[in-house]
Amino acid sequence: METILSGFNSILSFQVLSSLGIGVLLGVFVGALPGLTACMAVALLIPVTFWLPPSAGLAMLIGVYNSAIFAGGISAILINTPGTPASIASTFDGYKLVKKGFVALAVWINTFYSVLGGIFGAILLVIAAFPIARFALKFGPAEYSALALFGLSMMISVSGKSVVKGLIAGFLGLAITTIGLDPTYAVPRFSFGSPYLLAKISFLPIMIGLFGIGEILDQVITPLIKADVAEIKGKRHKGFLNLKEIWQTKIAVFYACIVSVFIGAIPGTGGDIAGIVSWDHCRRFSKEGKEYGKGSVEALAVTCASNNASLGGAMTTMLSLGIPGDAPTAIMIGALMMYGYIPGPLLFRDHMDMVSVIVALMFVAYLFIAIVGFLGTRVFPRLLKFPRPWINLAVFCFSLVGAYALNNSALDIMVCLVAGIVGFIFRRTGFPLGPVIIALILGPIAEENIIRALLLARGNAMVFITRPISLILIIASLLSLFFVPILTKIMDAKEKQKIS
Amino acid sequence: MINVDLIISIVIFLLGILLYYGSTTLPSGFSPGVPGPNFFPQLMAIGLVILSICLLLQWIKKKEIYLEKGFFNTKAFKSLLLIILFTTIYVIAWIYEVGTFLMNSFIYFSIIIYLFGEKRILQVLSISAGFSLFTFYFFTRVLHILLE
Repeated sequence: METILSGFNSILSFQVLSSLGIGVLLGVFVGALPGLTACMAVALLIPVTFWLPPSAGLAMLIGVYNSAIFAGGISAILINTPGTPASIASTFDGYKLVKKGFVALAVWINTFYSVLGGIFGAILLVIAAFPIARFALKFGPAEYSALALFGLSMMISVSGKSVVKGLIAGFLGLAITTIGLDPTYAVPRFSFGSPYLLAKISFLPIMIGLFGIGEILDQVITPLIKADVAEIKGKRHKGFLNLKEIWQTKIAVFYACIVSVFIGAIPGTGGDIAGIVSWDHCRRFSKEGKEYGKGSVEALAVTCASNNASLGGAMTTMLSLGIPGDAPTAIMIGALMMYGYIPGPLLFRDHMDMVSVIVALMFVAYLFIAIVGFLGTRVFPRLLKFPRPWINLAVFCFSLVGAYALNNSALDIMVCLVAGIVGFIFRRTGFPLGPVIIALILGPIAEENIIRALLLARGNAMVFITRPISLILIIASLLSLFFVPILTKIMDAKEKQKIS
Repeated sequence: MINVDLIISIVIFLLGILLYYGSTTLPSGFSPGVPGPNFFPQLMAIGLVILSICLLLQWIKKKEIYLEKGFFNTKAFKSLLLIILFTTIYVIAWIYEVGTFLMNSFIYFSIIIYLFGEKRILQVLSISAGFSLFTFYFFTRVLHILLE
């Protein structure tokens, strides 16, 4: 408890709080606009945060990440288009509530329950992350390599429709990590005598290119449909729920939060799955179940709370084990590494101050979101009418200059541009981007630890099976490699049956 | 119709072969039983070759279409090519230090905002000038990064 309180103490400075505030505002802007994702926002901000002290930089990133997920619900509610994938489930009831005339109420529910879910997730982060990290301190190279392999196996879960394409994307990412000096023997690989390649290609310009430039190039080909924004009138309702009405949603929302934190903690899953699963479960057991999908207040509350609660779960896995829960947390790992902090159990041992700062920021970010959310009810619809070419130019400009600013290297801009073109091709041809990021981050960790474990065991490969934690993680990796595709096929078949 | 998956599977297959060939020159290890610097690249190469064959088989089975032939003749695709072309020129000018950041950025931003769909000339010029100045002052004065 003292550690957490010290975290709150550390963030009580103008620089940190203003960075958090700017992050929250940017996140609202990005999250509310369909096509601009939380991933892109976090990736684009990295070059800016690089020049800030770690706590201020992380404040900005956490602010933008959390508020983008919250704001994704705004466009889901107002124009039936989720601003971020995590808000898909909010379209089920949000837009219908708006069509009934309860615009202000729907926007209020999004703010209130997003904050509630987010704080719930942060509380579970405090409860779960510390024991998990303490346990993970027993890890050696064998366990680390098994953990990295487990993380890499998540490439399948984030592959979307085609596992083969997801794996190809992941293997391409892994192949990129082999460029430069070998991590154990310092032998140059595929550097062709270039000092730039010898120092390894930084993954940050690649991420900025894939998610920033790639997304905008894709929108040149497929322009988004102009938002038909519902005007805020809110005459038919007072525009908020009273305590009695909030109390009526308690069981469904509490259940959704618990389920979502666990879903969020599973690497490869995120707010989108958490929202849909919670919505579906609550529909089955709730007395209000019949109203779900027809503009139900409780259903909207459940989806808004669940996608934000899942962030606490994703952060738990990221901080305690160093495994990204989803693509934005993969980028956050990159940001932490940029500051010299390696997420995982050692972070809890060596940089407890930073862990407490992150936990405190998770709480305070939702306080800021609450302020922005309640004050901005009437402003949000206007955000959706912002001219698209201006936004595209801003993303392009910050992607290119940001890529340069990371290392003052003009070649990084070229890497960013090439990554953007690859990102565009991937989007057009059904290749997911998540596996590339996971591979870029976990590939070097896996390679280094596999070789280190074998060196320590004098070449005995049984070291991975004879150590219990490593064995469990390898079994978990195999399960996720084979179980997830089978489960996806079964779900697809069921869906097809339903449709037919 | 363009068989995108077929083309990609061939490209990935060739990339895998190239990666494997490139890694044959790397040392295979220094201690018995411990993989050397060539292990990971070769593993990736084999993985890419196998996956490219899987993609090919998948394409033969499903023959999914991602791009219609007319795609390359669309106005949007031509705009996209121009955006990539002008961005490449802008980046090359930056790398070889041709012109100044402010001037290059103003010209480049004006062109691409027009290609993004902003056709009003006054807006094109004012937004481009605004972005160029903001980026320059933000990165050089606030973040102390030399942009030229």
